[in-house]
Amino acid sequence: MNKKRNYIIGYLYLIPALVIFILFTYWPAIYSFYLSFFNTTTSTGHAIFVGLSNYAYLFRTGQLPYAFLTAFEYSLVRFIFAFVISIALFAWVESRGKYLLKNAIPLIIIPVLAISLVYPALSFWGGNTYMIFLWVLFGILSFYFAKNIAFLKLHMTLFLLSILGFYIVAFYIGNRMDLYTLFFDIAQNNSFVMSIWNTFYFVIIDVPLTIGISLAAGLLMKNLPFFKAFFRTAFFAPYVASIVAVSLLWLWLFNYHYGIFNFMLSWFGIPPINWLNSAALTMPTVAILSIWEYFGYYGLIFLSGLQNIDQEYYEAAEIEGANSFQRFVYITWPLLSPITFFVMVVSLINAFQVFTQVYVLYNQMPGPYANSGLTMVFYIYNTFYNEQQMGLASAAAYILLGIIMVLTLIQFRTTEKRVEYNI
Amino acid sequence: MKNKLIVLISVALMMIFLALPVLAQPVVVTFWEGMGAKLGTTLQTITDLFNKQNPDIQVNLVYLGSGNEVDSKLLTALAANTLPTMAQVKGPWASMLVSKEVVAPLYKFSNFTEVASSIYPPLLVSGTFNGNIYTLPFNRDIFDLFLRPQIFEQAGLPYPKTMDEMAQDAKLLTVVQNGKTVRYGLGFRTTYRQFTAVAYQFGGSYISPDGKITINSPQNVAALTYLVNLVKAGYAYGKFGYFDNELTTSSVAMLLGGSAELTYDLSDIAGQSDGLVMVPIPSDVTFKPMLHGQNIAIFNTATEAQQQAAWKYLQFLLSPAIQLYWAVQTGYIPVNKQVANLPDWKNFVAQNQNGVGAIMVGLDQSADYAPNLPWWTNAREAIRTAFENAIHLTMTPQEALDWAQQQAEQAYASYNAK
Amino acid sequence: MKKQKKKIIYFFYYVAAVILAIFAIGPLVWMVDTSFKTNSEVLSYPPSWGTINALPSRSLTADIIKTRAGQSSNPSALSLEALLGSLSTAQTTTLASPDTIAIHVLGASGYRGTGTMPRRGILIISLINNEGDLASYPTKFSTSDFNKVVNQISSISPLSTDVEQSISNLSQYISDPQEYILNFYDAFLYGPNPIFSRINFISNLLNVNGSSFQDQLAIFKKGIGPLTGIELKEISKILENALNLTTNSNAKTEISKYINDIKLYLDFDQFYEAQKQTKFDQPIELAFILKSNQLKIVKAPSVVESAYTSGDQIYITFKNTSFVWFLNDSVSVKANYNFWEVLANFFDNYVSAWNSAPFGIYYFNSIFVAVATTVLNIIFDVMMAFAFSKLTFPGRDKIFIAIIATMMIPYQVLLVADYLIIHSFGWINSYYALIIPWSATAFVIFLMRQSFNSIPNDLYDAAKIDGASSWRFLWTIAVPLSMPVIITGALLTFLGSWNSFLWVLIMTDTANMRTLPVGLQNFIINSGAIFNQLMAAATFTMIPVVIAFLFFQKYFVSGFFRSGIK
Repeated sequence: MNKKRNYIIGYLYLIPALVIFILFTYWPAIYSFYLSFFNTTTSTGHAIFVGLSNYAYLFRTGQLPYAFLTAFEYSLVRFIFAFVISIALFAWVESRGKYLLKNAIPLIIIPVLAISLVYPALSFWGGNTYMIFLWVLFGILSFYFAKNIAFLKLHMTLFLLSILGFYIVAFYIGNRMDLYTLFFDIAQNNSFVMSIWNTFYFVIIDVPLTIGISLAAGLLMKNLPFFKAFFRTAFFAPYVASIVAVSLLWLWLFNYHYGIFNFMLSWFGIPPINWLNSAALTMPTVAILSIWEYFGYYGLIFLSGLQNIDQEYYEAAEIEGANSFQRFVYITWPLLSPITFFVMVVSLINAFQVFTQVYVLYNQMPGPYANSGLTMVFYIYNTFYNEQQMGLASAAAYILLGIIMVLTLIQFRTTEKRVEYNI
Repeated sequence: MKNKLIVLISVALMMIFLALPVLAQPVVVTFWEGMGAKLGTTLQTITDLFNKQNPDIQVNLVYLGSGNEVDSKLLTALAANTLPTMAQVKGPWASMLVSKEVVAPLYKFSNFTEVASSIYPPLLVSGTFNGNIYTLPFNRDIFDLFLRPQIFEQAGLPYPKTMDEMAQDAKLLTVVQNGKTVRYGLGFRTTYRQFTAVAYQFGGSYISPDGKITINSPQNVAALTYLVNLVKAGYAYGKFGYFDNELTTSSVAMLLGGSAELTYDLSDIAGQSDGLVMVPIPSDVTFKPMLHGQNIAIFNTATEAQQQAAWKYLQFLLSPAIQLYWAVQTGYIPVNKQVANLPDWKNFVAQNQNGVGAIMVGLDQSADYAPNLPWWTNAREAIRTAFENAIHLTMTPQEALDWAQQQAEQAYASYNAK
Repeated sequence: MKKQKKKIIYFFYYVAAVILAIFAIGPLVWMVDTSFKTNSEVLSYPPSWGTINALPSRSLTADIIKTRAGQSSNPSALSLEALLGSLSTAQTTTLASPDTIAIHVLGASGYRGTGTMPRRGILIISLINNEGDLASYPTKFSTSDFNKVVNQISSISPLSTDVEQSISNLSQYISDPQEYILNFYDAFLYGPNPIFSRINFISNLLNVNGSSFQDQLAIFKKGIGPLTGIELKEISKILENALNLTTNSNAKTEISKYINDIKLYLDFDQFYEAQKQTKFDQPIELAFILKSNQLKIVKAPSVVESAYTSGDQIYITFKNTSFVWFLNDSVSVKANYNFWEVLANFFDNYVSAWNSAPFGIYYFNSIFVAVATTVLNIIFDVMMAFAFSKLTFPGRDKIFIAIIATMMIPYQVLLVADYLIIHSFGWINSYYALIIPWSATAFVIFLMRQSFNSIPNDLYDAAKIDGASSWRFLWTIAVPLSMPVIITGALLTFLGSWNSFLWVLIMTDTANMRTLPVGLQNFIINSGAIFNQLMAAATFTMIPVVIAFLFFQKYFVSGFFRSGIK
């Protein structure tokens, strides 16, 4: 009885906030989910139920220069080639040549076979089912032999980089057909696919840099003996400013002919950079603005985490004679990991929703040309309000939501072991 | 019996007295507009005068930001059935509103034919759907060529009249110092409108008279090739953004742009002795200046009295005197044909050192920037992308427009399929 | 030794911190700097920090209006009523009297608010002749001399058709020398299609057949304004040489026509210049009068009678002389300001920005909405966070995750549905629409829950044993213990509400319900932005939040720390 009463009290506490969330977030979200199955722009003027075709339309491929399966095959061949060579390389590094004879079959013969077969497989044997089978076999074999390589487990990042490197090398061998190039062929005709790419590109530039710079800001704010309050306020000020006014200000700092950035570059004899009028620089430019806006805010979160670290660790380390770099690597960084993780999650969610910066920086257009600034939220906004295709926009919003959720979950899963984090 | 009568009479009197203030209350017209800064204050002045002259009508202006915010707001209002009495709309964009049957067809109002006939016919096109006029033009401007007269005088060149002359001038006016271009002959924005404005001068169009999509017509390709060649040769500079001060600091000699930008550009050269002149856009085949800007729609979701009041207000806005004031203050086209004959307008044009008269040149041959089709937004995006790709040399003009043609056909097909 | 090392490390820390600080506040400092500049300074290159608004004097570029059309008042300077009035009587706006000179100040009030001529201070206007001295005017004008020169020039022949036409047109003004002079210069130099306009006149000359002077003349085509007297003399010399060399009789007559054209003009010009005997003894000093078009004459030569301004033009009326005597002169305008006027100039953008939209109302609304949102947020968020942290009930953690998940939804898609709901409550265009939907924030709930988690459960159990209800425990123990987090949450929600734009725009219809970011939008127009006023408005929009942060920054930092993300 008492238990039941406690339950009711618990729910009572939730009610005010929950009602607001239900009314203004959940119900609209469900409503737009419902809309995502309708076509709202029709010649008759009435919405029509279309099932999943909005989702299908978002991922329409148009006319492909070659089949998806072919692209997959070429990608697979390249990937396994890179994988095999990388494993051989790592095994060789670990053994330093000692056990080479013992593992001669997997470590020499397979790589040699892989190298000798990669060119023919990528140019004139392409599209052959037996070749795929053979390459999968290669992969399984080398994976089987590589399981015991301790060096590989220790340096997973290095291994992944090595695969990427060999993949790129393999890319320039044989026919340039690939999932990657196919993706761009699709993106050329399908702006939603383009927007997915642009958003990921932005996130990849923005999130690591934001974390790096805000960590630096946090460390500085912690360690400076004087003027702490000044720097704290200075770093935080951009977060306070109205994004509309500030984006316009940056528009003008970035100006090719008259911008202050190019003016300052001219002091060092560097030729002006076409910040705002180059497709390749669109996302980096937006990222600079975004980093500027948020680094002070995240820096303060880092600062609070740093202040949370017990001073005794540092004192002990100092007695042991650790220098400041060592102290950072062995004390600060591990103990800060929950904060880092927190900032990572929050900045990732923010970065995926990038919109206002592009909207104002590029005069309400998706980048200077070739849709280089079309982010997912931009696509949603544009489809919703300019093209008035609410169903399609809702479907796109749900895909964005799915992507963010999946990535956040992956983050939680992969960092679970290392970060003690109670949610 | 007598008591009853007294009661009845007093009740009736009371009702009349209660009703009187209600009856006397003015009809409220809500007008959603996107006119910022000086444009906003000008519109407010006009509206105040109207309210003063018509005590029975109260027009309230609601400013909604100058970008796409008006569209967002109209869409949400449409969903909730809370549309205002009238609003500023982009012509083609409004086709959706018309298809939802919320826009009042203007022919139902009295005097309509009279009002419509006082307006330049090409300006009415963007408000016409299925043969009926639903919206009337208000803040419309025309694409012209802006130039710095001193640069031309120093080079001893007359202002260009044809595309070839413009290309020649662009070449002669480009200045290169130490391998760096310090002045480009021509500047333009890589937007849909700028391309369309040039394409029209080459005789291009997007929809043929029999309804076919002709984005990759030879004329359009010629127009795109013309611009691409100028960029390739280094005589022209194309970018997506506004030309904030390139013209006013003389780093481009000529600039394509909408005539309403003149007032904005002029304030940047405040204090300089060299002026800024607007001339009609050069033309090769047929002179067909491009119009853009917005129309006004009255919504039939308002009460009949409100619609009538809104119509009265709209007539007032389009009357010659108000159009004169509006045009003089803002640089928009006076849409009423009578304005051109008013002595004050002539006086204004004569005094103006910036070639304001150019906005009235060729209005009868002018054409809107987009056909009135609900699916055109997709085609428009495709044309813009094609233009950008061609200018940045990632595609040849023919390839780019072929691609845009294909995209537009897809958009058309998917619109009709649904 | 060790101390030395530490000092070096600190030095590098400070260098890094200063670089980061410049990156962070550099743009904002530039924003504030820009907010004090004039229109034409805003985009100057190379960029400069200063502004003439801070100087006690400045010179303004100005032109003398040299045509009759330019003399009449400009319709763009007229008020709507005046324009309507002039239309109803079917008259053109009244022409200025011929005694009045009109000076067009190029730096004057532009279309984007106030320009470089603030309507205050003292204007020092000097009319200057070709030699750079103060200009002269005639005191004794002799009609007989005038008749003589008119006769003289009408005897010159043959003339080119343009000139012949103009001279015969001019003959109607013979009885009125002033009009004659004005129209003469109109036709030859300053009118809409003058005879001596460079490109036309030289092009015509270059078209003359069979002559060899083309190369010498081509350079005259390049230059600013119509041909000057000196240039005309040179051209005349070249033509006379060519006349001697040419054998073609057709070309000969053509060339002699042009020589006569020039001679005619030069003769008349000589007469005109010779009439001016009296020199101005001092510049004209005029002062602005508040809310009036009239200008007060501070110091001026006796011929100046009165002065007024309209739009970007200044009109000066003379006694006993006419503006036609200053057609070949130029003008220099200098403005002087006293201390208060400099101050007014300096804050001009702020005043115009504030007045261009109902910023007083916006300010009140922004503060009210942000404070109300913050207060409600704290109450609702604290309650929810407390329930998630200290109370037990089924589905607690699932609901928590569902709340956190709302952070991932892009809110642009929710707008329409939100509008529908708010409309069904009848909240459109009310404070409710701006406050209630934002009165619970997932991120703040998350922070607070972490903070409450760091309060030992024992404390809660002890309080319960003492008979305190959970409600009392929350507000008397848990909340005071978590004050920094609550202040952090408050600051974040305050900021969110303060800067929200699209929401306010869509949910409200009238100015008295709107907030500051909507006001900022007023400076962004179709063709660009009014930078200086926008930056002024952005500055005064930002100030309250910066002050709030300065007050609370200590709590703010420890707020995240207390939230115990660990």
